[in-house]
Amino acid sequence: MNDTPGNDEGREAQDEATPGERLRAAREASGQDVQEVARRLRIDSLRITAMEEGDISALGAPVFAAGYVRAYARLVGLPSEELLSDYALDGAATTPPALDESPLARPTTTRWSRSRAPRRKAGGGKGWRAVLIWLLVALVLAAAAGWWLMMQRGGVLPSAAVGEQAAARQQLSLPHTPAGDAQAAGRPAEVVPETTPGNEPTVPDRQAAEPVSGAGVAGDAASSSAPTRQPAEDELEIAFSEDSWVELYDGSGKRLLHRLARAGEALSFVGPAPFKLVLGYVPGVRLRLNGEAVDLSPYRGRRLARLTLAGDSTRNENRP
Amino acid sequence: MFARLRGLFSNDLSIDLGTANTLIYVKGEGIVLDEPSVVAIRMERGTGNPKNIAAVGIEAKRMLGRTPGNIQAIRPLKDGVIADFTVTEKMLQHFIHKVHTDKFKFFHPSPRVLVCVPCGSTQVERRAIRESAAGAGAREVYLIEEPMAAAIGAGLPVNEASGSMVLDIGGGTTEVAVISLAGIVYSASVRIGGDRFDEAIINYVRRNYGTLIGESTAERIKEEVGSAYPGDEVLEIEVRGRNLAEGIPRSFTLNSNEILEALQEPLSGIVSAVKTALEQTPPELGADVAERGMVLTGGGALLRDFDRLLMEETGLPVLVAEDPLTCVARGGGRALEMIDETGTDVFTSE
Repeated sequence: MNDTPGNDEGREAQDEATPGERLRAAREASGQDVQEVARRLRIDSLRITAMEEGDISALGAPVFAAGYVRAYARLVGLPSEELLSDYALDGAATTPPALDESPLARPTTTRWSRSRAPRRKAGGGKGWRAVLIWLLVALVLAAAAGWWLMMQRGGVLPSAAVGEQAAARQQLSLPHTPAGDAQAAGRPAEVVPETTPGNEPTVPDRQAAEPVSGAGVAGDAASSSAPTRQPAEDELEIAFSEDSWVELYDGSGKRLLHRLARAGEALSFVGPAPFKLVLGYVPGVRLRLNGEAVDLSPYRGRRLARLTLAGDSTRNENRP
Repeated sequence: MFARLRGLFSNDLSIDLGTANTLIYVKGEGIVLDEPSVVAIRMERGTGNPKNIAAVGIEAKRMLGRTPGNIQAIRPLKDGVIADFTVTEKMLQHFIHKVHTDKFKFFHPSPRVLVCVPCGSTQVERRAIRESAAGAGAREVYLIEEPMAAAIGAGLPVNEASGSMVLDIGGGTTEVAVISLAGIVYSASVRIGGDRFDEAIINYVRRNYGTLIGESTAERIKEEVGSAYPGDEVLEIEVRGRNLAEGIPRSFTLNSNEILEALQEPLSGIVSAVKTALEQTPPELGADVAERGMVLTGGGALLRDFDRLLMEETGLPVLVAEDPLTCVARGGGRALEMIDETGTDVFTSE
């Protein structure tokens, strides 16, 4: 009668008595038989026997098994928590049933819906989340890489590119003014040795063609000799008769000026066109590009002006 | 549009919005918040009397009964349902933020929220709870009936085709339900709970000792010597209260038998609710319950020998769930997990 079934043998080797045996011993010591205990606990006597034999699975869901053991232990005056841990029930009872053994998690067909249809399919929630997070991470990485590349190229590209652009603009706008002519005509000669120096000052249509080749060769020349950006440069003079905010960027995007200029100041800049200007108080400003006054009449009656000066012709890109 | 994105940075919450305490269970983290459902409101002086929140939770509970004129400590829930809509919303908002403080501060949390409602609550009351949670920043709000959550939290096999009976004794209400196939077959809610026990003790002491004691003293008496069934040993406790005749605080001793007597009325209310439930239960399910027993959850289950009382009164096995105080919140959390896992629907309609 004292034989315990196989599932408790391993435990028996360690402990002197299985929890079932302890319960039985305590019950016998108090002089009650199984029927008596069953009556007092309102539990079926088969369950009492199962507990004493350590057959916990016969008791049903962990919540019931733990409850029965606790009630029995209290009746016979044994420490219930100790017994529960001996039965290895404690964990099963405290934590909700694991996924596969949970009655609700069972893949039954009971998907009836009384109120709201379930939002997602089984397991869909987590996967969706992970995918979205990885996508976000990838996006951020790509953006960072792109930015870095831009910055890397940014150091080299603008000067050359803008230089070419400026040169192209120059050839379109320059031929009208004699002063600009002289300057523009002089400069390609410095950089471009191939062009014959003899005929260049007098032939304007040659000039129109030459700077293109000149600019093309300028890159090559720059690698051998010291880079001079002479051909693309213009001179801008700003005179202030009133206080005015002024921002000035040259063609390479470099900020030359970003402050409040005082009345009476006269400033002069040489750099690659086009110049981008923001003037806070137009009426108080005079501009001269390559020695020629810039017409500010489109801004009459206004205070703020944003303009871009390409070569010596003023192109107003006014975006209020 | 960003609700889903923000949802990635929020945790799903299961909220046991109780009369006495609010518990929040976070998926994967367990119970993260357990605070009294109390809000202290400060009224500004001047016209219009704008109100703002002075404290929520434990801090506010400390203020109960100790506030100056312009501060009011109130319990926005009564009998398990919302009595003050805006204050409940503020309280929920506070708790939801509190749960999310440590992570992702730059995102407003927008979690999926499951809220437990008493099964006796009306549509209007449910709607109020839903709106409250939505107003507090929830992305989606699910409602679950408390006994169902309690049964899941206790680990009852609710999805089986067999009856499981659960008795959830909360602060304001006691819910009894018979559950089978993930649905509630019978449920009833009586507005008796831990608060009524305290009241009964206060009344008893005033009647028999001519002494006034406070709510927190009554709660301490209940926890230390309260019992639902005459036990083998008699416990005693020394308490202090104001003698009504003399107007002076006096100290006196109470024993567990007196408290048992004091608790008779609320206890018999709960017992009769259980008996009614057993009467109304279809016979097959009743047989299942008789075979396996009913499970007690909620703070009331901690009252000494409550299970014994019910056992004697009904003749059925009565078991106390593991960690009965958090059963409902844990069960709600489990139900939330089940939405993702299986799509099992245990949620209540509006």
